[in-house]
Amino acid sequence: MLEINNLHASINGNEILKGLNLTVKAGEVHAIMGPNGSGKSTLASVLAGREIVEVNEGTVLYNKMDLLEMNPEKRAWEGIFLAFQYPVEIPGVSISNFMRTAINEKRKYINLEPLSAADFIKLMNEKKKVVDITTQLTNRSVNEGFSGGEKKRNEIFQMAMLEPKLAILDETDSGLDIDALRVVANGVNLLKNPENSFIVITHYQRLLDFIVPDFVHVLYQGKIVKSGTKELALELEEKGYDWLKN
Amino acid sequence: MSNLEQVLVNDFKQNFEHITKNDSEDLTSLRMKAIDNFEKTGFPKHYDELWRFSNITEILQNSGRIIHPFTPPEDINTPVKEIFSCDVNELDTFDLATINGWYPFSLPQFQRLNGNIIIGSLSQAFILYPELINEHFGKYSAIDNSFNALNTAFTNDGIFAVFPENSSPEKPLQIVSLVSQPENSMLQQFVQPRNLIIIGKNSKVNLVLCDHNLSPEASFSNIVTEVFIDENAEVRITRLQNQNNKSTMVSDLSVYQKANSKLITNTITLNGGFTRNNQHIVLAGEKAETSVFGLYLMDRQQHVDNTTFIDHAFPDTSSNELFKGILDEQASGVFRGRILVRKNAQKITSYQKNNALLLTDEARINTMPQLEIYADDVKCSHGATVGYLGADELFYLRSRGICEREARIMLMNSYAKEIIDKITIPSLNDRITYLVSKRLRGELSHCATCVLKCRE
Repeated sequence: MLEINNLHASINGNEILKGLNLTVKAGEVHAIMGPNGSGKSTLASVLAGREIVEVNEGTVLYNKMDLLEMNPEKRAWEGIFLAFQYPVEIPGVSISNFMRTAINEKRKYINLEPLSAADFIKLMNEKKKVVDITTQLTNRSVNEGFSGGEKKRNEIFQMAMLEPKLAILDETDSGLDIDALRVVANGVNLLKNPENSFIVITHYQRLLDFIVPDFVHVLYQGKIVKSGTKELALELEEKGYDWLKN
Repeated sequence: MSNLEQVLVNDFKQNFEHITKNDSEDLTSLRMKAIDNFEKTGFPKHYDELWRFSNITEILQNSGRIIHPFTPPEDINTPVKEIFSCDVNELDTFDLATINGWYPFSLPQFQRLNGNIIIGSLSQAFILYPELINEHFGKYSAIDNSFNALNTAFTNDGIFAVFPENSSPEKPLQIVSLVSQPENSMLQQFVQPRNLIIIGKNSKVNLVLCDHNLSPEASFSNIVTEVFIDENAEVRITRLQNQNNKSTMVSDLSVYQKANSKLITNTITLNGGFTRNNQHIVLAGEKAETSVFGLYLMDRQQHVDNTTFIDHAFPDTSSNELFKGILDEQASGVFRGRILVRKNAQKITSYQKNNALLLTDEARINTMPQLEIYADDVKCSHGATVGYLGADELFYLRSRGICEREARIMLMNSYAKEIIDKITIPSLNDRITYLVSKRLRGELSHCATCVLKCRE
């Protein structure tokens, strides 16, 4: 599904990713861990197509397409979803209007008729249950005045609505209490199937108790320095990152 | 004195008998004072502080021959309903249109609403209601301003409305100023509509003022609307401006508020070549409150100027002002907000803000707050922001599969929503939301989907 080869990327001239390789197959969950500043969020930004990140070298193939040639909206239509670390507030745009536009743009891309109002509401109600989100919240403007937990929950709700093939969760667990964490993880687990993949970026092993990864990678100074299975996460929790730095 | 100024002064003198034929003595002397003022000051110069960023002199000089019409245009004989019909969805208004400032011949000179509300022709009011005219006409729009002076000197006609004490008509009164410019005419008409609205104590009144062109030709209009609001009355004025790209409009709204009265104005400028909106509000009684909102959406080389003057003449009065604008391509905008707190006007609160969104590097906005405070127990603030569409917000929307164009439109709509939501008549709010959205998509021609559906 995703093949990253020798990826070098920089922000404002500072090279952050320095030759990253990663392969993700359909149905897999990959966790990416690493200390602050190692390039985790930059990787998420490259995959979603944020313009501030400049790719200097390397290739990213997504379902055999050159991902780096695609603009953010096309990536979304092709099934890429980024759950933001810091979701932005958009006053004056209601979540339902936002989601309806997003879904219908995607449907237009794959030559489907727009969803009727009734079908859309049905879909919303179905997906709201996934993350235990209230109608009160979905009637509000996107993330406006939301608590940290509500913002993250809203990200997972959007993910459920858009049914991506490859979802990247950028520190979705940060700032969440254990109950919120469980709700978010539960949402991910409900969406998981053999056709779709997840890249879960996290600082802590905690989230991985709920979302069990097939692979764990340690990102350090712009490269993946170690890969393993879920046991690696436990080892990191115990020993920290220092033992990997040499 | 420029050629055009001379032509207008001569026009006044030569047509003096005709202009003043319905006048009381007081009115005639007011007109003479006004034309004197105009003769002395002429049109604003590019170096006049109040016009520094809105170069109207250039437009006036390049306009070819401009004349003030003393007779109504030919279409005035056609029932107005045949020329246009109002298309504000489900907005049930009592609507009246003037064509080039003339009250339509097809309507009775005065109509009565709810028994005692009088709405009709201003020129007829000069004859029938001279006391009210003498008491109110020309008392609120200052004739030291050359455009107001010119309008006052030449006033032919317009709408006259009197809402007696305790009036609360269900329907808003909608006044549409239509500008009809004959095709291919060498003479450009200088259209000067005039409205006078008198609102009695304890009344609750909704006014909708629309400005619109009937033809795509260049036009020049100088509109003055005076509103008197008596004690304890509550008034909402929504102004909707959708003029063509060759239009030049100076529109003055002068309001005088007595004690305990409440006013909310909302000026929505959707389109127009050159638009200058003056608002002059006098808070002339304790506990009078005013809110002045506005939204302007300009592109191409359009220019909009919102100049407001709020006069806190009495203690314990408050004002709140918020304008927002979106300027695209080479459009330019001006916001000038003068707030005057007079010497003995204590316990004043006054807030003012102008926020502008520039979509290109060539779009411009000039913002000038001007606070003059002569009292000491005063709470005032002002602020201005100039910004661009947020890159983070755009990326967030695009990352969900909303294409860039749609995402930009969404963000602009959300930006405008804050002002539109100040309009509390639901059907008018819906309609303006729709029009603004169309405008932001570039799908609103000045005629196609405006509030009015002109018959082609």
